[in-house]
Amino acid sequence: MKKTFGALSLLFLLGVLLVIASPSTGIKFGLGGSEWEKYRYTDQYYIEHGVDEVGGTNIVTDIVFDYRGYDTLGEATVLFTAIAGAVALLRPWRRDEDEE
Amino acid sequence: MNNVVLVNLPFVVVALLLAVGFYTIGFKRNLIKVVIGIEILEGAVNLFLIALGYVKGAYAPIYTMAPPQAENNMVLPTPQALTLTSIVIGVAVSALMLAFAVNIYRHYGTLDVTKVRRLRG
Repeated sequence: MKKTFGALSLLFLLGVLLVIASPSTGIKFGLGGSEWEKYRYTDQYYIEHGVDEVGGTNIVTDIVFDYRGYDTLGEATVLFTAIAGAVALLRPWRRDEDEE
Repeated sequence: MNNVVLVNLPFVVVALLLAVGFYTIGFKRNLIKVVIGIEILEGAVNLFLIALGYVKGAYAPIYTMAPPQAENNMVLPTPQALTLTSIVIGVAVSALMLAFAVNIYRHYGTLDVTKVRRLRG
């Protein structure tokens, strides 16, 4: 019973995703020309002004380290926390030492 | 119909990958396979972000040695930056999940999610 409900909800999810992925009802892939200006004006600003405002010629690194630097700070924090957690989890247990 | 699929092929692939990932998480009983399902979900999300930034006939967003026709005709840089962040977070999360799996195997002697449920002091 639970399995059938899970399978049905999975099929429903797939259907919704396919509706979203179809170009007539959802998002379109590979826009160009005037549609570019309509939906992606922020990236247009980055591409036009990135070299003058930041100084790097690579726009992606300009965004990662200058426009959205706090994002990268959070990412580094997440990586640090994950490494600390993995090290704490994989250390030998105290009970093992008692048994040996 | 065929044309509709081909026009949006990356998004259709993303939808299929998401379905496969959710199926793996929901129906598999081995913990390692559940972790693999979460990794498939991450790959689908990263592919979706990158495909969202594609512009037809555009160039990579780097001005070093760029040809003159690449001026203001570049692939969107923001989704690439977001994907960079999301890849690192995915690696961190998968490392933590695998460490938990190792600990669970040490403690219970099995990786089956239905057998792990019984608490053992």
